[in-house]
Amino acid sequence: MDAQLKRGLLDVCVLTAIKNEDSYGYKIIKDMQPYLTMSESTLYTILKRLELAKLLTVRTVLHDGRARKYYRITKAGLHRIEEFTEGWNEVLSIYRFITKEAKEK
Amino acid sequence: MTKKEFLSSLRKKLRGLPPLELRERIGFYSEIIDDKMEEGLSESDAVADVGSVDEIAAQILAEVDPEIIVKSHKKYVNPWQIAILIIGSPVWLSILIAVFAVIWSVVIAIWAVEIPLFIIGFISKYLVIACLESAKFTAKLTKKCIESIGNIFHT
Repeated sequence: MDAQLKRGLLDVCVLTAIKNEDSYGYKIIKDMQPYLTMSESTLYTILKRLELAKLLTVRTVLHDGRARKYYRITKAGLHRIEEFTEGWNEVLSIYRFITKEAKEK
Repeated sequence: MTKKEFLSSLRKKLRGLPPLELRERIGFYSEIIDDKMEEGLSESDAVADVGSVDEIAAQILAEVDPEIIVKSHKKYVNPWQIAILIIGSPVWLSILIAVFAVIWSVVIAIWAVEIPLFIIGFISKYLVIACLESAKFTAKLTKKCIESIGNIFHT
């Protein structure tokens, strides 16, 4: 898959993982597990990028005597998910057309 | 492998990274290992689950802009620079003392108008000469030392 395309997809994946409630590193990876496996390093890079783009915010919470970072989606982050979903509906229609055509041949 | 061993091994491999990013990445792994243990995994299983230090380090270093790694390496002082600084200290230290001696003698000259100026001048002059002579001597000594160190490496 095209690298830039993949990056965009993974960004939206992570945003979706924190869409409904704040989450933390390990939980994000676990929630995505049934659909895709993401390495911790990849997740770190994505979270950093999303933070820089102000699509999420980070806060440190004391949990059982150690620090845990929680990530919260911003309005801009939610907007990014919407944009992505709309864009991909178009891609899906095209995909259906391509595969329908391929089957008929 | 224990969590401590894993993190210190990873830290060593990522030494070229900017200190803040290094600290954050290590913290990120530490947090995830702790979370895995909280879920019930043993420490060694949690560490193994995260992956091998070599693979992780390779992946991280491949992502990071090589320029950033080179730039932060430059901040580390070359041990040779420190060695030469210490070996050469008689030289620059003597010169520093000589400079101070001159300044100090001027200060004394201005303030101690009662004491005959020539006595102050006399003392200061010899102080300065002594410092400069020792600086010359130690400069020769330092040069000999550096030459012999250079010879060791050329053989």
